[in-house]
Amino acid sequence: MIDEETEKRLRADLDSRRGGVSFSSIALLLGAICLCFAAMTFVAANWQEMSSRVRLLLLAAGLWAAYGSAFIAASRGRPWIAQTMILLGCGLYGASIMLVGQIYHIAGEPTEAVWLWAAGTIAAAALTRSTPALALAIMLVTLWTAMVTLADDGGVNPIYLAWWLACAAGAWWLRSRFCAHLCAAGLLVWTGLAVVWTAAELETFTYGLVAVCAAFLLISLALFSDGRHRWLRGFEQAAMAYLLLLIGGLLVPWYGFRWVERSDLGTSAEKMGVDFLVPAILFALTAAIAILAWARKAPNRYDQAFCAVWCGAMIALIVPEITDLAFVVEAVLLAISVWIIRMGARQETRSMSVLGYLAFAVVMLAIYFQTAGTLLGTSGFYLGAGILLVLAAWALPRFVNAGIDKPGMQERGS
Amino acid sequence: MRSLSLRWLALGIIAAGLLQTIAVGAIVWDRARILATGTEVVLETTFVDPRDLFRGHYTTLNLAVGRLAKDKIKVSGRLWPGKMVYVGLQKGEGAFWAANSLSTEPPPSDLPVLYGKLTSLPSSAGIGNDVYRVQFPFDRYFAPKLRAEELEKFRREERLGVILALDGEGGGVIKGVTVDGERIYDEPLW
Repeated sequence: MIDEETEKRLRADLDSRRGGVSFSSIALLLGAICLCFAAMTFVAANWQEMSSRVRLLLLAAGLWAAYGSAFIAASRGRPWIAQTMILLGCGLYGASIMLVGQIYHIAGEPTEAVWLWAAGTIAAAALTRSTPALALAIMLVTLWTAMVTLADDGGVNPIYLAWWLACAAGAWWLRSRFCAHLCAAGLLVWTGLAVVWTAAELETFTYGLVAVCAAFLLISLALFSDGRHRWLRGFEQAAMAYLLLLIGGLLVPWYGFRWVERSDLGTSAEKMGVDFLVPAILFALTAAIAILAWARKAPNRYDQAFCAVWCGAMIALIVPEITDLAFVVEAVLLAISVWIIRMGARQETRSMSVLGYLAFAVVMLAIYFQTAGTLLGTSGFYLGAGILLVLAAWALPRFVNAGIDKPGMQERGS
Repeated sequence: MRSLSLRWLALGIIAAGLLQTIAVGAIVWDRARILATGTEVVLETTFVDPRDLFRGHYTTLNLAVGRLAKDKIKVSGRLWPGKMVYVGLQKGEGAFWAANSLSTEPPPSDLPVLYGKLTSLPSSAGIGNDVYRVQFPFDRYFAPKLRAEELEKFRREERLGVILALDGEGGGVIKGVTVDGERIYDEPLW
């Protein structure tokens, strides 16, 4: 009892699901990954029963056979098989590069080889719209930046950001959430490596706090997109969870180092200048977004305003003269964790809430292990924080109901 | 991939395949050209055996021309660690070629030259380290595990050498290995 148009749509929907995640699709993908590893270890084994040139020809023939199979599979209406064959071709391409490096004894760590592999794989993914190939490319670009940073004469690798943008654009274009997750994880790896490198080589954690400011700016943008525009096609909340994870991953070692070493890795107020320029710009942008959000009555404007507040707080934490004050850092971290819990609950994002509770527990434990002069002082801090939170729980709903509407709640109908 | 028409997909696959084949082929062509036409020099070396994640076992070449005694070579230009430099070569007393100059610009003579990165300077106090250390982009010899271990076992008195084909601009490709002047491994051109 359905009309022809509805039948067509239902069939199309069923067809699209049919090609999705059947066991044979998963087995094929895993098989292709195993074949890629087989090719790479075959190269590394340097088997002398077959000459190097024959091995190279074998890999080249394998590459073209994989691409030929991709075309045949696509022409028979098996897009997933076709995409997997492209992945296999890209794996064989990488093995060929490594084999050439081995044949001609090309020196050094294979950083350039991994870069060439990643570049060719990105091109193949874009030309054939292959999601598995793009996933491989994202992993290779991340491996490449890790190798560049960890090399003997390594350092922060800003060029990665250009490659990351290309990969992120690819994930957006192919509508691949899996690739988006890989991109987010890759950016976390890059930021972590960059901050660790600057902390170790330049003996400053200022860049880590700058990265936290940048993360708050990105959260504010994600909130803006999540409220109305959906620029990231529904990936906004996952992106925010990754950014919060990044913030935690940066603040915990910073706090730990201050605690253990009893020294600051920040920038003294006397040296204010260039070190504050970038965070000041980030703060200005975050504040501008928050103002714009309030002017437009954006659904997430409340959280966007807090992003600007936290960004400002991070700038203050760069100055050791401020962080030396008793429990200032702990109070800021506690407030951020409460905000994350609240945002997670309002957004109905469990991962965000879990991160918030985890952060709250970590900060409370950290406070427990240190004292503000005396244990009585620490007890006083807990008392103050407890009273503040109880008062907030009592007063905030009345305050909100009295004048300020709950941003996001009305639009979400909850 | 579903939204690509078969025609565009075929074009995409051919373009991707060609791009990747050309990328690999260009490296092969460049290296084979140097092996076929490059100037051949033999440099004294020792070997150490580690393993590469992607390319398997290799021996690190500890080239004698990578350690330049400051009183035995001509030095020109401002040098600092990390600077790319040219090492001029001349025929040594035995089978090996030896370094005779270190400069930031290519030396004017027609003699073979190597291009590498200066990693350290002689100690200014004159205590201990009296050599310039240079790292070259051909310091690994990939070999099956057994051969790599075999090379590592050669003793210093056996006078190990590595044969390089040089491209005239400081670049080089490993062509083979010698022991006491005798070629024991020769890299085939193709």
